[in-house]
Amino acid sequence: MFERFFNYSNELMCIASLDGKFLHINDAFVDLLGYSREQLLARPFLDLVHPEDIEKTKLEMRHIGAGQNTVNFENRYRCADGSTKFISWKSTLDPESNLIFATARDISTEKLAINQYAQLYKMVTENIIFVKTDVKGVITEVNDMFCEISGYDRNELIGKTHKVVNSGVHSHDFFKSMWKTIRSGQVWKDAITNRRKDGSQYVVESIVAPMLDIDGKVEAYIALRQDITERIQYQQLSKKNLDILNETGEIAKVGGWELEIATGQLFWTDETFKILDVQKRNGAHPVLEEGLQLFTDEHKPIIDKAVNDASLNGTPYALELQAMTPKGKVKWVYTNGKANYRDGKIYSLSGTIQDIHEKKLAELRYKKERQRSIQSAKFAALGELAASVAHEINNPLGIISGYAELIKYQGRVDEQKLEAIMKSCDRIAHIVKNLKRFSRSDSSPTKTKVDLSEIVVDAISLTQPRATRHLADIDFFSDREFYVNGNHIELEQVVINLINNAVDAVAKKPLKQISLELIDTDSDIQLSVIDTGGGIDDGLKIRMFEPFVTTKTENNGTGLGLSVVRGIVEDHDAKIKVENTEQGAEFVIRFPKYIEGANHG
Amino acid sequence: MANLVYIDDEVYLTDIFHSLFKDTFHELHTFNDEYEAIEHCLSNPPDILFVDYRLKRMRGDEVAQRIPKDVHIILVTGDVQIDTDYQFDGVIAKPFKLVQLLHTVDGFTGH
Repeated sequence: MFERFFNYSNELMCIASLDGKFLHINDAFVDLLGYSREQLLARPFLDLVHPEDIEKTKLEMRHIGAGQNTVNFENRYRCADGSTKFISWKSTLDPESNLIFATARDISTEKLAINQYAQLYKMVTENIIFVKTDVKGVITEVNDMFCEISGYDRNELIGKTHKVVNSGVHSHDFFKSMWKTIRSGQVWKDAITNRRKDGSQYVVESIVAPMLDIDGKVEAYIALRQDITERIQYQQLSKKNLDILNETGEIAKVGGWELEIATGQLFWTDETFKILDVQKRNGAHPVLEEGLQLFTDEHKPIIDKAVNDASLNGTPYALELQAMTPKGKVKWVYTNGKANYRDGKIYSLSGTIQDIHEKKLAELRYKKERQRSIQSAKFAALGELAASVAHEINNPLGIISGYAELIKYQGRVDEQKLEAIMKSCDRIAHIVKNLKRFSRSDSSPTKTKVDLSEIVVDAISLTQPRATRHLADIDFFSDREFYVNGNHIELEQVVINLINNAVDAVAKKPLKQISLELIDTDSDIQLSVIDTGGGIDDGLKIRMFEPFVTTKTENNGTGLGLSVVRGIVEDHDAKIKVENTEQGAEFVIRFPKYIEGANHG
Repeated sequence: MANLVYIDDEVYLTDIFHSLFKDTFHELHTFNDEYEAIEHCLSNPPDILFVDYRLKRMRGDEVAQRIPKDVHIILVTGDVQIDTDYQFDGVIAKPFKLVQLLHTVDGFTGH
């Protein structure tokens, strides 16, 4: 019966000899160690003991041999599966048989838990500010780190409450709320400003957790803390810097910005928001696309390209652009940007933005003024030139036209050819007279009801020879009249100049087509001269109507043609503009319609 | 019938003038030298004097001032702007139409 009890028991039991061999070993023990009973009985059990524990086991066996009972002796055994078990022994020497009667317990699991707890405890108390208090908040344990940060010795802290380090920064309610939380068994977390022994303050991120006893009642509190003083100071410093930056920006009207390439997020200073008239949203930053939308349609492609170049190639930029605020206001801004590198890669762009609206307007006004004064100086010079050459031209011209007339009256020659000579003389005379437009006093030539269609035909007949010489086609069709109030010769000169320019433009192109069109719109009469000459540079478009601006080489142009055209056009209350088409340029002149009986001045 | 004088340093222009009026009933004198012309006009005042502005040595208005007051003096000029205080009886711009000369003469002779 004892034999059966011996084997059924969950306790580990064995009988061993003092020379170190198992004589009897129960099933539970056999199962734990994993060897067969025969193997266990065949060899000394010391073979199974962990090498580090052999000496103390031998010593313990000598104590047993001397009649001393063993209570809670612990050693480690190596099992068949290679694992190690902690075993706690209770053994006694049977004086009758001189054998060791032993019971034992596998305490491996408890041992591991205790060991892990100890490691954790060590880790926490060595690396995190650690305090333990009783339920009333009286400090019972502190670690070196707490002593170090607070400036107090351990004995100055133990037995006291946290009032020792109270900085007075926090309200009564703050602590009341903390106590309410931890008393109810919850964990409380927040940043606390405490005071050192020397009176200075430090900030800790605190976790206060209640420790519960077996009944679930709070028996102690543990507080873990981390010093975040530097972080807080850094944050305060950053904020201060940002405040100063914003203030500086506001005074200088310069905003700052940064673009994070990976996310497209934009960071703007307050002044940038102000300059662009964008409402600052708390916490939310604008993204790149929103930022780019804040420019006028005309300038958006420019900033798009600049930002793209900077992001991809690191090309810095500095631009004066028109921004379009969300309220639809157009504003001149100066903005620059440069790439910022990290590990050889561009990770962000940053730069400034400046409100230059007033400055820019003043500059544009100044430029315009200057242009105007240069222009009027040019006109004055031209006027003087005209006056001095007029006499020289008009005399020989008088001779040509005089003789032509005389020959015509004598009636013995081809009258048409003489007409052409006389008409040409008229034209030259008129141009010389027209040069006077540029000088101060001039009586404007009389205007009458004229047919633009007829004028175009006249102009084509005079320019056709030159166009043919350059293999250019002139194309015009009209079967009706287009009346405007104007001067026939002047308007003819306009058309001649435009056709001649078109001939020059198409001369070196494979396709040499010049088309003239007259359109009667509801509001005006439009004359278009369209060529296939490749078009006009944008930069030139603005200046091309000024005198002396020419793209032609020295002997081919005076640079006066288009300025004369504009002068005449404006004198006719008409407007001229030029656009590039797919293959060339299109000049469009819009004349007010001739109204019968109206005062055309 | 009127007595006409034209002073111009351009020989061809005086020739045109001459050709235009030679078959009319008008008495006709043309000069390329202003001094000769003035001398002629003082001894033989014309009805109408056509005078160029820029002559060899003098200006048209200077010539006009030396001519008897009752002569109608017409300035014939290629200049676009004349700076003078002299009040001419008419101005014809060069290049002139022959008809302008004829009309001017007609105008002063009452035709």
